[in-house]
Amino acid sequence: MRLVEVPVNHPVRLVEIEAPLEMAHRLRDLGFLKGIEISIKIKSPFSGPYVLDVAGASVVMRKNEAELIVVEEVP
Amino acid sequence: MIALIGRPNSGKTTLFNWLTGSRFRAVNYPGATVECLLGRTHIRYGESHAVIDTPGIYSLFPKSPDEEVTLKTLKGEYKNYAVEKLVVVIDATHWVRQWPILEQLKEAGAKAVVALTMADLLTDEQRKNTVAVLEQELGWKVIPINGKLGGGVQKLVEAIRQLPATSTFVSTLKIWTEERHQKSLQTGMQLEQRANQKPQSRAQLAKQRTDRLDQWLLHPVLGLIFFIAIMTTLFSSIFWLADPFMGYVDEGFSFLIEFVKSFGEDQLWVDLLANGVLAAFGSVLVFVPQILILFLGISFLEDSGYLARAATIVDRPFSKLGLSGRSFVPLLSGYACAVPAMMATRNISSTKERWIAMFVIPLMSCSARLPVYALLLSFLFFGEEAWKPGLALAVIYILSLVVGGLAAWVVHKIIPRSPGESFLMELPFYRRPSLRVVLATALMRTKAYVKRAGPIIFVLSLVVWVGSTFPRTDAVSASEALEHSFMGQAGHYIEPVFEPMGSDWRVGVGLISAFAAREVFVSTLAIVFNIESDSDEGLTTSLLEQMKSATWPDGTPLFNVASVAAMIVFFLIALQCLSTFAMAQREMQSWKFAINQLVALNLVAYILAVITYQALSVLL
Repeated sequence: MRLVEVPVNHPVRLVEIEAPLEMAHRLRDLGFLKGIEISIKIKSPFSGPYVLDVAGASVVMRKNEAELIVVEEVP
Repeated sequence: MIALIGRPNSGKTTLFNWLTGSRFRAVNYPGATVECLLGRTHIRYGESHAVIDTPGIYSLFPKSPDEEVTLKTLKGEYKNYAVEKLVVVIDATHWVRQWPILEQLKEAGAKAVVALTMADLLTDEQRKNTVAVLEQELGWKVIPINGKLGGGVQKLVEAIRQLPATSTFVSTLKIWTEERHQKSLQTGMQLEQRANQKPQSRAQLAKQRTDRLDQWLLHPVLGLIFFIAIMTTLFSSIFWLADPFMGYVDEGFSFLIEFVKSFGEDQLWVDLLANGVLAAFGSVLVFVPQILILFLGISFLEDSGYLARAATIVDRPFSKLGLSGRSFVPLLSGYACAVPAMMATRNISSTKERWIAMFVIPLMSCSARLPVYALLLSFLFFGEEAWKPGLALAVIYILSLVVGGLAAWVVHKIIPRSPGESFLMELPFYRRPSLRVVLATALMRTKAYVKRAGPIIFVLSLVVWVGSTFPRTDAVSASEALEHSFMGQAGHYIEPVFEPMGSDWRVGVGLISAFAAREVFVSTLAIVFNIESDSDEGLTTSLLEQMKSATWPDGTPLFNVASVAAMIVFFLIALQCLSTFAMAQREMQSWKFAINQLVALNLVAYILAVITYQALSVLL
């Protein structure tokens, strides 16, 4: 499942990042790490950016970036 | 010198405040123009040491120009700011993500002290465990700091004293592979588990408060309303808050001019000082209060954490123009001054986006245009209710946004895509802005503005005064004398260029001198139209009187709705600023970019001004 498909306030776990190297690095610097818990706090209108909770920190990303992130349900 | 390094929002600046007892100044790195804070440790901590607060970094592999500055500092490349001791600032509530940077520093052979900020957000046990785990792993001293009360700073200073002084901290560092980084983060997570420290208790409270506020301020509908309300407040406060202070500056200069004139108006030096230098400075410095207030507002919003949210809100519309939320702060600063705005584009990682932002920044209605608009609008709305010019100014501000948007869109369509187009950003916790930091940054930016404009205004006021005063003739009227002056003679050659936009050679001279800096237009007009401020109505009013009575040789009024509107259109678009041109060249490392921008914006400005004048002359 992709992060874009996840509804608001539904915690999931990061499986993989399928982004180009540069972006993968940025994501990593911001704490996107295999196994970490992510939930979407706000989805801005008109396909605007998402506000995420990444292990306790607020991170903003665009919808097309959320498409690159593979997640799974928290068991 | 001691350097503080750490991630953005790690509490570095708060710690810096405690260390220096809030006595510091904002400075620019030599040749790098990135702002940082410089101070000395307070004497209550014993012998004083110099401290520098470096730009925030995410890792030792910099991805944006301001991160590079920090790395260069660590490599000892800035001789003026030779760092001898290093303090790594780590946010205790999020330290796992900061672990790689610690590991990288260690790998590079650095020795440092760790300041664990926001330690007051941990329980006593968590704090003890975290310090123990980090000290064991790093072999460095780890000092918890209470951000609110400043507890632990004394201990930190003692730990710094015990560090051996070195000159380089990072010499060779092999670039980390993806796996290496992942491994480092995993180590961090394991260490965190060992310290049994998940963000809890008070950290949880700060986070909850931020989350609650974000539910309002980033709400799909309400967030937009708040955004518009905050921006409207910011921009309108520039006018009503600054008004009394502008009055004081104006009165002060009028008084000075009167005082100088009392030495005898027929003396040359009196004329130079009063009608040349003082009139020029007075007509420009009167706008410093507005500039200061705009900078104060921006610094305040920046420090509170709101600007990151505002960037999030504008990201969607900006993305249509090839920009992102990251361009919001640079463009907003462009409303104060293009020079710091261009510096602020340094944290834009996409080359294309940075290019577009740099190109459109000079279109934002900067404070140097304010004196010009203020003069032209008070001419257009002379003697009418105050809200009319106010509304017209609001329209001009919105127009500058529209023109900027159009320009961005055109450039976006022309230049090819580049990698790194994204909008990824960490939102800081909301916090009460530190007034001290807000004041220091706003003052520094205002001072930089005055320093840049000052010499230009001074030199040009001399040039314009000499040009308009010599050669001395025994002409009866002032206008006749001007006609025969050097400037009058030269002006007639250039008049054909400005005639199509409804300006004669006197205004043409003003427009040309404005290429040094836009506000010089007002000061040049003040000299060219030779204002005699005998009345106590101030400089602006007497200049307006002169403009009203100015005519073409055939007796038709020089300033009418069409010609003034054409001037406004010209100023809206033209890039008339030496500093901006120089900054564009320096930041982009490209003469081609700077020259293209200069030519493109001025050509478009001229053509549109001519069209405006011709169309309005036919219609009215």
